[in-house]
Amino acid sequence: MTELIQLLWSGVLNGLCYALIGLSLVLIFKTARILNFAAGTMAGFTGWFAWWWATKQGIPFLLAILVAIIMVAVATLLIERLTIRPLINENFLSIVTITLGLEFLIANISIRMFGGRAESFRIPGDIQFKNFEIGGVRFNWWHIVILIATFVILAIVGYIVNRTELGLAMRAFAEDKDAARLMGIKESTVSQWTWTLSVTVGGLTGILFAPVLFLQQDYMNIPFIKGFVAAILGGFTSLSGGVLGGLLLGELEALAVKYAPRQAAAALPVIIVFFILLIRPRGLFTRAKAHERV
Amino acid sequence: MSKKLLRLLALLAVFSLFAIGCGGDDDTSSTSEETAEEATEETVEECVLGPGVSDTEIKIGSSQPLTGNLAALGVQAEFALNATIKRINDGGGIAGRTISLTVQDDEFNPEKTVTNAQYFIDQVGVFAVWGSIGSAPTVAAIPLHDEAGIMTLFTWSQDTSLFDREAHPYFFSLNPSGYKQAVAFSNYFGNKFDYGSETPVVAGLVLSSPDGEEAAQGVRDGAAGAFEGGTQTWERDATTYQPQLLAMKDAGVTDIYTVVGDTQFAQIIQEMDQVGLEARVWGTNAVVTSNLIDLVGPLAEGALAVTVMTGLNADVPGLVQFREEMAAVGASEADLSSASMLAYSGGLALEAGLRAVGECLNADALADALLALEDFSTGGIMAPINFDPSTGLGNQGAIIQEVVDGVWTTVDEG
Repeated sequence: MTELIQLLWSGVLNGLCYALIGLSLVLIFKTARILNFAAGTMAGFTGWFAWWWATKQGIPFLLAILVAIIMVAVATLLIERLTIRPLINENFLSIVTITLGLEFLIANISIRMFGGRAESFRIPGDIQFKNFEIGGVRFNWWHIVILIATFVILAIVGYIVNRTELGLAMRAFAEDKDAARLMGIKESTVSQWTWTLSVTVGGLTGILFAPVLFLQQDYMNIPFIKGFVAAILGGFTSLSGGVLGGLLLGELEALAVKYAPRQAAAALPVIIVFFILLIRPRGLFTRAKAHERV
Repeated sequence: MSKKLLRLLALLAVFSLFAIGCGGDDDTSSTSEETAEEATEETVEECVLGPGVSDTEIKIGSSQPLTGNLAALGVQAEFALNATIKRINDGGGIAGRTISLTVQDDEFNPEKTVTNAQYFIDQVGVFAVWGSIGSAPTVAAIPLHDEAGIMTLFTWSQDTSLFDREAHPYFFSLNPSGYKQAVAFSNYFGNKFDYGSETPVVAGLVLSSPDGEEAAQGVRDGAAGAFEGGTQTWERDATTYQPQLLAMKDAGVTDIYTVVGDTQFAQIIQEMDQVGLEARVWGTNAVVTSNLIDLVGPLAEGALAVTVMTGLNADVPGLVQFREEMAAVGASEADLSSASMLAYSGGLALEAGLRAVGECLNADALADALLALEDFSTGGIMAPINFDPSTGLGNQGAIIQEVVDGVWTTVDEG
């Protein structure tokens, strides 16, 4: 039993990573119908930036994270203003192309700023190297921090989306863009803050998982792909769906290694996702709007 | 009338003879000229310079992962290539030629390696591609190299298919195939390693690919195969190795043979600690870097590697020269690694081959010169080099290293 719990816990850890990246993608897609292909690179850049402040500039760990997040958020506001907003009413492909260009640009800035060598993001007290056991199941302290931080991030995003004017505007745009415009909601403001919120969630994910995956130039690219799958699994327009999709994918991956034949273990989660989408093309956690159901 | 006719015939005969005589002279003259031309042509044929070779320059390309998760290795290898070129060029070049190097980033992506190969062939016009890293990138690019008649020299790749000089006549390597390295580990483990009183359980953790399967088979085929505890595979898009490590923990694995880069090795060591898997972990050349120790600190202690090169702390003259030349091109201590040592050792063999060839440089001549090297010394960095004509492999040694007090240390050679 402890072995199974240990395995499920490892699935939870991966799942949290996919869930947060999935959430970051869904936030933008739900509101602006934009697929941000730079999400993984932006998340990784934030991780590197926080490391740079903490390790190279010597500022305290939490302050380094705060500075990195604020600076990346400000940069996102500028990027949104200069590259996304001029194309906001253009076709889907134009903006997707812009995000692909951003991915390339940020990856190149990152390699120039931080170099090609892998680095370890040391946490105060080296807690990423410290473990404890409960009932024979082994936990790592930093993984516990990731779990708690994920809940805090989800709670904050949930609060913003469901309890603030910005969230109301975001939901209005997600529901019906034209009606939202007629209600006087400024699309540019919603776009600006949605991007900032999404990149902040992604950036925090990059920081949280830097000590787990080590800082490498493309260390968030694979989580981005998995987060993308998670978002599709969740329906791509459901915030909770993106999160649950990520957790489901993480568990499927972990269980497949244990229970599937070795040759099929890698493909099995993808095959399962494929069949889920065949049965429920909208994803597991979304329902058709009332008028579409009619 | 008949007399006149006879005179005419006689005259014609004389003219004919004269003409034949003259013709004979002419023919003799033209045969002599043709023979001379043929001789000249033969001389020219003997001295057809290879692509990328001029009277003053030899152009060489290298495709390296300068970004991505193997970027550290690519950067380290590039330093070693530059160190070699600096040594040769500062010494006046070889046969009046200096070496120019073009390095392209491939991000360890085979598609980009192919693009780079095309660039080297069509745009730069290189004589050889030297020191590239990775099996998949090399396997993808080598058909282009072969077709263009350019050499594929001293790559850090271990796919068995490369070690076939009938298929790849210009492929030379100092790094054995993954299968051969796995057999070397397995035999060392089964025959020499002191694994204590308990019966060991040996498992492979390899990439889910033909390359990885070959390595796993190598472990089974060697002496450690008697202690086989299964193989776990990982995918290129794996986020963590925890599920595989947990499966090994359940199977009571005591020794894990991995075929991964140093960053992945660091992640495996960290995750072994996180899931409570107490086993020895073995790597290949790719893990023998100071970066590994920087990444996981004390957790790296006791990690083992089966390599083809000596440890950086070994007291051999080749390493002293290696350190000096690397420092001269701006490399730091962190850049001294298996990647840079392998590229550097390849550079020593390349230099010896080029000097043996002299002026008339082409791929066939250099291939012959490399094959003619006998017990070529790298100053103790690796075993004496003798290239096998059938495989192109020049290094048959196996050296065991272990992280002791934060330093990769040679614990066995053989």
